[in-house]
Amino acid sequence: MKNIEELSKKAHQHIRINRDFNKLPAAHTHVLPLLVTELLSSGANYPVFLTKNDQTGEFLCIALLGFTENENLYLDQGEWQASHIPLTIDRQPFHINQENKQVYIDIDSPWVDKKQGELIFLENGELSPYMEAVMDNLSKIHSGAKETHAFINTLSEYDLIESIELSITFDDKSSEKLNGLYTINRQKLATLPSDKLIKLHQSGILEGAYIMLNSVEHVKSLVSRKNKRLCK
Amino acid sequence: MMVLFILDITIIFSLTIMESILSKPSIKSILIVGGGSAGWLSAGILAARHGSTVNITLVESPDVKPIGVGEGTWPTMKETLQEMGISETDFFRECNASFKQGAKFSKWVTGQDDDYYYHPLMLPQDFVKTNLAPFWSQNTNGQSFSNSVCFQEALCEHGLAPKTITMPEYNSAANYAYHLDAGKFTTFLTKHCTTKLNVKHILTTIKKVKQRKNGDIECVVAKDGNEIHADLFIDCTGSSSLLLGKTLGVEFIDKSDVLFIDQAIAVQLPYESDKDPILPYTLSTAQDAGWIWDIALSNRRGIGHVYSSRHMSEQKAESILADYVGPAYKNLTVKKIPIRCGHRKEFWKNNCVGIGMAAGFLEPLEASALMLIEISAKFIRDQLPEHKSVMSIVAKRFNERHTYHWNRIVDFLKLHYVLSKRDDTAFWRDNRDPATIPESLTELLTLWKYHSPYRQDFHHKEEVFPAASYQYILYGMGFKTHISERDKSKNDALCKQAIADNHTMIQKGITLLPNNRELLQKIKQYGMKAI
Repeated sequence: MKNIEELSKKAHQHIRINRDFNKLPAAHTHVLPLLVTELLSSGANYPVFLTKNDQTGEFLCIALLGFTENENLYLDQGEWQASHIPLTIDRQPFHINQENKQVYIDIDSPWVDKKQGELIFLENGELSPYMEAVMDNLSKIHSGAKETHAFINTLSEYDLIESIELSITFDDKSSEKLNGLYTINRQKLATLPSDKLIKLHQSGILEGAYIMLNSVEHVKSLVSRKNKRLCK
Repeated sequence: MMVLFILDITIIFSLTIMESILSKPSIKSILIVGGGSAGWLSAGILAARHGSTVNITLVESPDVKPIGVGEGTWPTMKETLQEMGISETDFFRECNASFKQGAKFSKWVTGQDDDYYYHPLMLPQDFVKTNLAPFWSQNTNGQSFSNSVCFQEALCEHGLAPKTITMPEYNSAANYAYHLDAGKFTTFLTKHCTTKLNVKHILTTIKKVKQRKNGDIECVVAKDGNEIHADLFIDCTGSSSLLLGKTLGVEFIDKSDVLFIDQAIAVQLPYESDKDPILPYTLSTAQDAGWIWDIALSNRRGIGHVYSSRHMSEQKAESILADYVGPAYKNLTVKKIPIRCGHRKEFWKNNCVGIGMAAGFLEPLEASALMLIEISAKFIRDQLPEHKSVMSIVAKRFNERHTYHWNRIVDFLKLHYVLSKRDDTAFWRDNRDPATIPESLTELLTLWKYHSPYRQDFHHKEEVFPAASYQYILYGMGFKTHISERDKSKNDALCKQAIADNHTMIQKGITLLPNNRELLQKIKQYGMKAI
């Protein structure tokens, strides 16, 4: 369970963050939520879809990492093989309060270490370069939540979302069917009236929509990752 | 020159004929007289299809308050709302709607505390492939019929919703209908019809109805003297049946000799806390001279006692309702509604169709009132005469179809009373008097002694109650069908598999589906998605 403490020089001066993905249960998943602020770098690495939050039914933007539960095909012997790690993992074990921007640390996280890993604070008490980068990610998370909400709401309002089903047969003839994924209807997007299209363009949503659409190509590389594992 | 001139005249002449054929006798305007659920449902159903080509107007009196106790629907309502372009989330939020997955009949067979059975809203498992009833009767394993063949009874008993929040609007794991606030529903439909579906709304009181020589309704006259004309009139004036009954003089066929219920007293009971369960089914509990309905909405329950005034005094009926409701009863407003079971001899006469209580009414045991409104309006929508000369043909077909439907509903309602084994009061004994049972029902019951109802037993493709519904009532109430040697060994493996599959569905449903109140709260908070 989480044991959250407000981050402070005094309490956390000697703590190190040991980024071993093998140890982090949250990384062993086939679906990770994304923020619209990391869409460009995510779309360059993963197939990006929408799916529904099973508690509220609201749409989430997600990266697809595998085909069955707990299967992350981008993880290989503790290494994350992508140029971008979704922020929700990358910022571990830190959290940011959406209201006052206060930073917290989950002291029970498997990444919290006394000996190995990156220091949070330098000897002189300033933030380490590693922690500066984390802070940058946390502020992206802070600003991204609202933007992501607006992005999804607009797509939904313009009736651009459609459900898709992925049916995949792997080299060993086994197959998986993935339900509950949604993407953008390319046809509907292309035929939007110009005033709506301009609005989407000006708000950056149009670019995001095409990033999401084109990222579906990564399903192919995801399949070949899976096939390689099946061969081993 | 001369020749051309004559040709011109011919062309003009034939154009005039064409125009008169095309324009004059076609149906260009429909006037719905009366609001309420009947008027507004009809308006919505017709306007969703014809709103852009036919003038659809609804006139209602600002003084007439709808009865507003029709609060249970059939699953048909999903399609009806969807076809009108209604967001199901809006509907749930604005009409305090809840899910209904069937009816639970309590104390109908023996009157004991543990006596109950279900009429769920789904067909028995693999119904299109095989009839499970004979197999079940030989291998009950102590399980009720509905629980053996359908997973919905288990969902109801666990208080579960038929879907999860991630399923799109109108989609579900188990079939469902609605419980709704009838008054709020009318307001909701009024707004939708007038803002989205091009229905014109006139608020005025009708003073007079004018007829043509051939008996057709020419117009209704408002109290300010304004005449409202139309090609087709839909009478939704409730039991007063202003056009169909009073003006066109269509006779009322009384069914109180078969169905004894003639009074209803109803209350609305708010939940004590936001933790109280919201039952995902209609609960019907048999009483000494009738039964009590218990319909759970998202914010309150609607509870009513329907009884036969020939068998019970109003005072006694009220005290039974008060006992059922509990201490809160003394603070509630009690509504009294007389019920006249029966229907008009014709529903469509001349250029007028009666829908809702203007056409007839039956006791609400199987929540048929709103469903009858839907199928009537849909018939008109689909068969709307292109030309006035064929109106009488369409009318005849409408009348045949609907007389059949009403008779089947009467049979089906009576079945619940005929199969009861209750002997404790005259009401139950009188209900089994052969003189009160329609011949058509007696015949079916004789037939079903030797084979269980299945797909060939009824005439119409669109039966209001399919054979499966008869199975649920018959075997839920302990009716015995003699299973012949011929039937005994038939499809054993298939049946075993179907019953095993149903058992798996029960386990799955109980694990995956949320509590009914929980889901309704989520719908209020987050809404459902259209996709």
